[in-house]
Amino acid sequence: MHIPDGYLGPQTYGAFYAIMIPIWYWASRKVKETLKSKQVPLLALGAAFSFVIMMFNVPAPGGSTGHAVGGAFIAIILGPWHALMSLTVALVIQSLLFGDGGITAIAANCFNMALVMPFTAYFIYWLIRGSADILSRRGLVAAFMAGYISLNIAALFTAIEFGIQPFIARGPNGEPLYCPYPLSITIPVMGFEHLAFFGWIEGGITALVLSSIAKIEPALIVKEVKLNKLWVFIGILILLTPLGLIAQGTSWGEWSGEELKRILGFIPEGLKNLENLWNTLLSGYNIPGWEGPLFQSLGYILSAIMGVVMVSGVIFMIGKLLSFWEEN
Amino acid sequence: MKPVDSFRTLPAWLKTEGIGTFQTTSFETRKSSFIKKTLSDITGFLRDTLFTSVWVREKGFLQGMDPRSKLLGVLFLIITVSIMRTINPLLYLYILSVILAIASRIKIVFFVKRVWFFIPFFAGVIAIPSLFLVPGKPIFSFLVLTITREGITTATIFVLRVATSVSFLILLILTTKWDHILKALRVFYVPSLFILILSMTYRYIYLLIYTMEDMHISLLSRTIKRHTLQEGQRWIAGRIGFIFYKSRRLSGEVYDAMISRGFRGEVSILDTFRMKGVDYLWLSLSLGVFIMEIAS
Amino acid sequence: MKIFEVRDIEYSYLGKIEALRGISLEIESAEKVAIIGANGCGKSTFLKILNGLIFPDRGEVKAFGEILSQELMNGEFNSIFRSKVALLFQNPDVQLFSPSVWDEIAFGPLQLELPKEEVIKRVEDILILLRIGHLRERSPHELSIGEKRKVAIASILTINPDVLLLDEPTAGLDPRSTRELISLLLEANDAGKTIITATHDLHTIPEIADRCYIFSEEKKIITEGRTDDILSDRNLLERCNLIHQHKHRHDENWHKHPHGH
Ligand SMILES: Nc1ncnc2c1ncn2[C@@H]1O[C@H](COP(=O)(O)OP(=O)(O)OP(=O)(O)O)[C@@H](O)[C@H]1O
Ligand SMILES: [Mg+2]
Repeated sequence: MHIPDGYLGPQTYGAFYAIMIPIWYWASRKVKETLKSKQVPLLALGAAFSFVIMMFNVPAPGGSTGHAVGGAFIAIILGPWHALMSLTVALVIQSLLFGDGGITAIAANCFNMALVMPFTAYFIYWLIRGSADILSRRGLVAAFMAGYISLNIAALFTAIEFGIQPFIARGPNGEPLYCPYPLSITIPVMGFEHLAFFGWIEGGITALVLSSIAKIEPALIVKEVKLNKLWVFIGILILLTPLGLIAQGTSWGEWSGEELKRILGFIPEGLKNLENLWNTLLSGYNIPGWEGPLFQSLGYILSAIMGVVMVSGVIFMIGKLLSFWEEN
Repeated sequence: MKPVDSFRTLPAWLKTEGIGTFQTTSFETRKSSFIKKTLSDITGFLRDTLFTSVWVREKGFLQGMDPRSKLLGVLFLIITVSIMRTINPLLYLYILSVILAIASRIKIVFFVKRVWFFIPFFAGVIAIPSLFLVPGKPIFSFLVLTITREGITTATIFVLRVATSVSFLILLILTTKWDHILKALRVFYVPSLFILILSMTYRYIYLLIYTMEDMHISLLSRTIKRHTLQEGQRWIAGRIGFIFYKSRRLSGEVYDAMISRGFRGEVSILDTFRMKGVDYLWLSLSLGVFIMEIAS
Repeated sequence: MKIFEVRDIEYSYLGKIEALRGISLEIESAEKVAIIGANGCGKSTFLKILNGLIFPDRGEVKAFGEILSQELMNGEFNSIFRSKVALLFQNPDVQLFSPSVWDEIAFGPLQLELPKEEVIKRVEDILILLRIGHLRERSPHELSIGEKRKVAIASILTINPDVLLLDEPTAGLDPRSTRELISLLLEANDAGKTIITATHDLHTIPEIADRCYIFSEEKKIITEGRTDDILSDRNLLERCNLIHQHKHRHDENWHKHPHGH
């Protein structure tokens, strides 16, 4: 699932940097709050751990083997924020020192494997497990589902990122410039692989690892992030932000927003308005070369940043409001 | 006070001869293939990093450069590659990467192989169907399949783009010591604490990989009967749990060792990087390519 | 001047695994002291307590006249203490966390905020002193066990501490390196440094310690005294599992005699 350089166009990978940078900042603040300088070796070894477990070959039916990403149980053991940081470090090292995954795609890869996967896994795990015992049937099913579903959602995001490339950017004769397949191909292909094979491995290993750890130290696996409705809501919102941003990006490509709207089903209205605002702002200035791909991307990235700032602002306000209620 | 133990003698069963005779197949079971696969993956990983580190010591063009300007330049080039829309400029940049490899005394066969055979192999496989699937002007028909001109352009651009960006990334990795790549991240205002975490991660990856290798070797040497699928998976899960404990305990001890030497949550990174003539040459080259692409 | 005054300390890991039970001792400035005992008797734990990394559950440890505690270590005292007392960890992998040997050896002095030139000078001197100049660019994971030990020793020497706490400093070193390390430590001791060593290596003890403490498997001090007196008491050493009867075969006969390591 490591996306190399050249698969994603600048509009897409730029948008992911715009999304991930504030999230990284937020996560590092979040992690720092809890333990301060002790986090340094903890994060480093958490990241080294995340790196090596991807190297285990897990036996699968029919004598074949597969790899587990591990994002699910890392999130459940370390907590989602910690998992986000550890997995980010592991992915940066894979890209920068081993050439595994592109430099331009670091943010997109982190989005899929360090953000989407651990957070969905964490929420699904606690949603299903509730207050059941970790080694109970329900606890184990929760672990399996967390691994299975989170991997598939991460794969779905990867497929979407690939699949929108032909819509976003086309060459002079209308040929796709980056990943050449549309959503109608990427989603079924990635979906099949992960639903039918890798998901089972991820789910199985998640459940087995958690039970092997729980047998030695059950107290380790505690719910550190409160899972109230607000968190679920924010989680969904965070997950939807990029969809909206990506959807919005198409209008800078040759394909109309309408086209994609049919495929994705919706484009968040607010973001669409933002796009109009941006266009009107810029149409006043006749910047030469504005039609060039870089400036298109710049415009796109800028609105992506604005979008993220707005969404973060809303989340921040809700958080403030809620803590205000709790205090009173 | 405890009395001194008298001599321990071996338990009787340990003195008898082991049961079983060698049969050519009894050790080679298909079910233990995951152990061997992991072991050969680990060997491959260690060999790759060893081969990779050979070229750093050569006295070539890229090796003599300040890692900061090298990283910056490579990044400019990869971004340029990512915004190009036609075949020719991509081809020129690919040729540039090969020239750079030669100037850096990297064995060209090794370099080209490394780029084409390993990483974008996948990209090649992905691109082939697009020859037929992209609609456009047909050029060549074979039974029901028709290759279109647009299909060829798409596949070429895609493969060339991936190969060229991978080439530049590989050039950076091959000609720079890993810790210099990380220290060079300072130019992007990456906090030094984050750089410390990155370099500690890299260092402890090896420790954990050696542990992992030992576990697999010792399992392989004890494997007599077939593992069932369940046993295999349970074993893996147990080992992952073990590595988790090991890393957690290590992190506690490493923390103590850092505190003991005066660590208080801040680090200063000492580097001896210095910009020279080649660095300015390189930066203007990569920046020039970048600006030319935007302007065109 | 008394460097350490330890009064009746107890320590257990996770509140369960007992590691020290009632240890008391005093160590003067510029002394050479050895702590000996069988595996698991609490030597490493004790050195970590002296280094202010963990704190006893009961009893107290005074260093330079101050009672060591987490609060004390969070304050001003910490940086002075860290520059005066250094610990060589038993497991060199724990201590080598920097990207290269050079960075590792420079880590301590950089944390003390010494000027850059001074840091570089110290690192270069120590590289020569310990004959590890050829390793300077290497990463810790590429070193042999003995090389790791030397780099770890170098990394604490550059701090220039007054008190050296050494946990098995000669383990894994070849004979020449062992000899060189010992003469280096003796020279440092002549210059006024206090040296406290935990070891099972009975051969080196007479040189690196004037006094020694023996920890028992019950995690207590069995005895203390002058090194010569203690090492000549074969019965005592045997009781503490530091030497044992050794089974040899001479011609056709088995025979036993005491054997130290
Ligand atoms: N991190 C830890 N967690 C739990 N128990 C520990 C830990 N470290 C040490 N112990 C236990 O504390 C006791 C004392 O250990 P310590 O490492 O101090 O012994 P030692 O004298 O240094 O042994 P050795 O000669 O093997 O180095 C042992 O019983 C050990 O099992
Ligand atoms: Mg010890």
